[in-house]
Amino acid sequence: MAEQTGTVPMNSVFEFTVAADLPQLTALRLEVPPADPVKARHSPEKGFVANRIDAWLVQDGKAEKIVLRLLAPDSLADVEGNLARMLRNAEKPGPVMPRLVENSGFMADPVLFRTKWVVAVPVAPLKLQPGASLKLQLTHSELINAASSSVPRLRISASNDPRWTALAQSPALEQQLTRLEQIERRLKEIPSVKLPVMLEQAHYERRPTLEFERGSFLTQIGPDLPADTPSLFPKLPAHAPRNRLTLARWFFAPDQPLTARVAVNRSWEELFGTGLVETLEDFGSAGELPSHPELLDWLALHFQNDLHWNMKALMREIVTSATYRQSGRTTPALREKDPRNRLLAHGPQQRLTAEMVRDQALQAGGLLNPKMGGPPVMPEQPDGVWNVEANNPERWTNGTGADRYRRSVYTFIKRTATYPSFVTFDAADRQLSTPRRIPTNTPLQALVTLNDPVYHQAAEALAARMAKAPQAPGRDAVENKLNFGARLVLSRDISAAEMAPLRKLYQSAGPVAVASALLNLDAALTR
Amino acid sequence: MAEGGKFDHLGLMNIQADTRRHFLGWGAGGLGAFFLNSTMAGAAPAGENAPLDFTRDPATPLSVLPPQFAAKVKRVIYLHMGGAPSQLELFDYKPVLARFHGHDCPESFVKGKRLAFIQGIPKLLGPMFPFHRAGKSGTWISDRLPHLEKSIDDLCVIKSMKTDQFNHAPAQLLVHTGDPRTGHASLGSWVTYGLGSENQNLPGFIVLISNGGTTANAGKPLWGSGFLPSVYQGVACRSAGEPVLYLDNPKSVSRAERRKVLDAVDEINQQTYRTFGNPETVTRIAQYEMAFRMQLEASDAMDIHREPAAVLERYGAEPGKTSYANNCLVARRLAERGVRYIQLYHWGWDSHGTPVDKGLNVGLVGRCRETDQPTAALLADLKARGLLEDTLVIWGGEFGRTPMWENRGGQEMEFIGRDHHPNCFSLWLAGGGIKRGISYGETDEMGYEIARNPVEVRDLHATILYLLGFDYRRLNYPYQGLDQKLTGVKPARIVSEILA
Repeated sequence: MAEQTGTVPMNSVFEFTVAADLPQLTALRLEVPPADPVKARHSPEKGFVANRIDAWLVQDGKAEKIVLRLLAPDSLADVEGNLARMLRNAEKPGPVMPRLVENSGFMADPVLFRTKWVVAVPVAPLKLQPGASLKLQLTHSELINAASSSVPRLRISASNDPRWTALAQSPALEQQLTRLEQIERRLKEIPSVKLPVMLEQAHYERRPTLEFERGSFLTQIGPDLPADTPSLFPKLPAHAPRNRLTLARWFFAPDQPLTARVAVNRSWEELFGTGLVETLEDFGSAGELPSHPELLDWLALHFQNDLHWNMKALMREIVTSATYRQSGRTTPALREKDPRNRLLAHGPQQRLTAEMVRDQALQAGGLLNPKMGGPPVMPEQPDGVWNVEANNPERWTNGTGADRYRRSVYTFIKRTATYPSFVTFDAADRQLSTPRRIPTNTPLQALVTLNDPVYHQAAEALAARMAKAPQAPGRDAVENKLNFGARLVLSRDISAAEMAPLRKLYQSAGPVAVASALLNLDAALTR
Repeated sequence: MAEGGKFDHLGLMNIQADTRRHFLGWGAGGLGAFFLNSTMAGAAPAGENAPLDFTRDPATPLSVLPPQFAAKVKRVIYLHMGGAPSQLELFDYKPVLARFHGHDCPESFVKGKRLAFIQGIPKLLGPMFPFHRAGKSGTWISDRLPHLEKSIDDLCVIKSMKTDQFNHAPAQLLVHTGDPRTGHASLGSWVTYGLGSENQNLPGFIVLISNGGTTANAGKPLWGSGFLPSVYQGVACRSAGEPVLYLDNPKSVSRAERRKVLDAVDEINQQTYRTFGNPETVTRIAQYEMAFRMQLEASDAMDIHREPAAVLERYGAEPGKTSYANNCLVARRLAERGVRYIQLYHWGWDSHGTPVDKGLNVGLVGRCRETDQPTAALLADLKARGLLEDTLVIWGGEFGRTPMWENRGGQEMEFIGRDHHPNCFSLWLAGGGIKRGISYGETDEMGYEIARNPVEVRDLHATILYLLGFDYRRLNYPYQGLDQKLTGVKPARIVSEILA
């Protein structure tokens, strides 16, 4: 076995000279084992890509090129989409291939965690005289992580089993390769999404899971651990396979105590501002106890057994309850006694979430595009927010047409450059697991709802809708418009006291100013 | 407010007086909720790590709080050179390394070590530029920083900084948030959380970025508030165009008209409060007023057009552009106006020798030219205005560079470069509480390891917090079952040897 040392230049071609001591050779196996095969299973080593394998038979003072009919890889995992090409060891002039767009070849990319091998089969058996040798050339012209990716060590074995030659020469193989090429071509033409879809790995590719000593992934201690659930909880069914489907079913088993409780608690928090258990993310010993334990139990069982996990039905039940429908009014005495309304003496009063603030403004203006699904969009954002980074090719391109006013949930998310208006309203930027947002109240928020172009556009659109308000009997024209606007934003009529300042504003600054004011009212931003 | 419009000050004050008694309370998840956390000292026994009390009126989350003990500095200006400037070409003079230039590096330098890009046995690379002793202090410096050299006697150069991160994003996060992973509060956030800011009409923590369209690798988490309330996050401002996002009214809306809108909103909000009694409403009124004031003050603070020509020339600043020079001048203006924590980032110091712009012999030269004069001008300007004595100025990168000549993936490269080197790097401090004109710490003859007085990043943090008037153990915040500190869980030390 040969081992690589020293500094290797780019685009290296490795030559091996192998003394051959068989009279006849039908196949060569090239193996690349990891330096530490046991450790590499869970802590892999640097990988390699060998783009071409070429071989010559050196005897009688001559070097004769061996035509390799077939390269049989050890697994299909790395060669998808290129299998036919790999198997054929596609002919190209010269030893160094130009940089490839797609990976192809004999490889462990990007890491090596078990022995990789390929069997190279000459088109015909090689007859070897004593003293003959083989010259093998491996070409590396691809980088892994901006570094050269040459084979770290190589073990070469030879076979004289005639079945290899039979395989390489069989017409059935040729037919299958052709058919494979056709299918691969057709597959490439089917439009797909750029985001990879995760699949469970083939069993032989799976890596073992070991315990991390003191939580460090660098120090893993055996033995291999089987998949299981914490002993505190109901057991996995005895005869079910230990796979993801079993785990998924386990979450919804009738005796599973947590799933329904956590789910209903989250819905409660969305509607009331604080969950029955305040720590949505923690029902354990570090979390808080429920404020209303019997209610939580009842809701959980009701959700599971009567509503059959239907979230819409759950929401409907909660919002039509007497508790939810209480007025938000509170008194100093009540605030003194229960400052955070845990005892639900009055209806909820919470600030809209970041996404709701934008969606509401668009909805009131009649601009909201209700289209569901599809790729994310990029609403208007000033230059310089996105911040082009060297290693990241994406660009923010402000959406046009109806894409400007999609629901906020479709906004493109990037952790290092989150859409700023959302961040200002405490949207999670995905750096931390954020089970609950903590709403704040800052001057930067005021600047967003006053000056972010989308809000100005919404105000203009809202003003236009107000201008076309159907005239209600008994109101003068101006008040009619103002009330119409209020109904669009606040879902209620405005009181006489509220009417006065709005009317004054309308007269001194016009309808867009009024629309902007409506969208910035505390009442508009609170639900 | 001299601007016309009838903002009802008296009415608001009445309402605020009413709610001040209840400010700890209401609003599930409102500011009240998290301030409750900080007063939950009852939940944990008071002791060495007992949290300090940072409760404030929720209407003014950045209001000034006194430090724990007498502070040496009131504000921080952090000049971060992104990509890791080569200490071997700037501050850490290694004549022995120069003699071994071109030799194979010792095996001990690479065997068993995790290096970013070097593979195999690289050659050693001596200093690319000549060094000399400068100023009365005789501090070593290369010829690349002729302007900064004039202030050398004001600097404390630490040559023995060390980190355990060898790639940019985690290393930058460690330097600015105390942890290599995202999600932790940045230094600026801790400082504004603990101290507030002296000017309520400007953000307390401002970030200015220069050099092309690029940003620091780790992005916005570097000035994020992590688990601290989001009001303490840094606000990235631009020195060209709109300084704070959405500061300017839409073109068709004048300031006078904006005032009228706010008057109407305020009046209706006061009615809302009278009906519903939610203290958040009162806070919102105050925030809108602050936004209105901020529009004027932030524009003014960031506008360098008004500076005299002589000043612009000293910095090399050009109004209307984005540059490090402009950012330094803005930093001085912000410091004058009471901004607590000012962070500058200048990218492009990653001298691997891969693209031409990143070679030591090309890119580094350019970076020095862009930053040397403005940095020196900032220091001199702060000093002349009497600000340096209560400001802490910090200059540095996220790790050092190797004494080895980079051979990416074990192959030769077209331009000269050094790989990432966490073992030792250089950083300087200037300002209040810091000894002037000294060097601290030493690396070995080859510039590979620290020979004396190592300073971990957390030690630097502990020292910074000390200068601001805090015991780094007491400035903490409970999150996920731990009293989180900037310095993390490992013990840190204040580098008392560099304190004046």
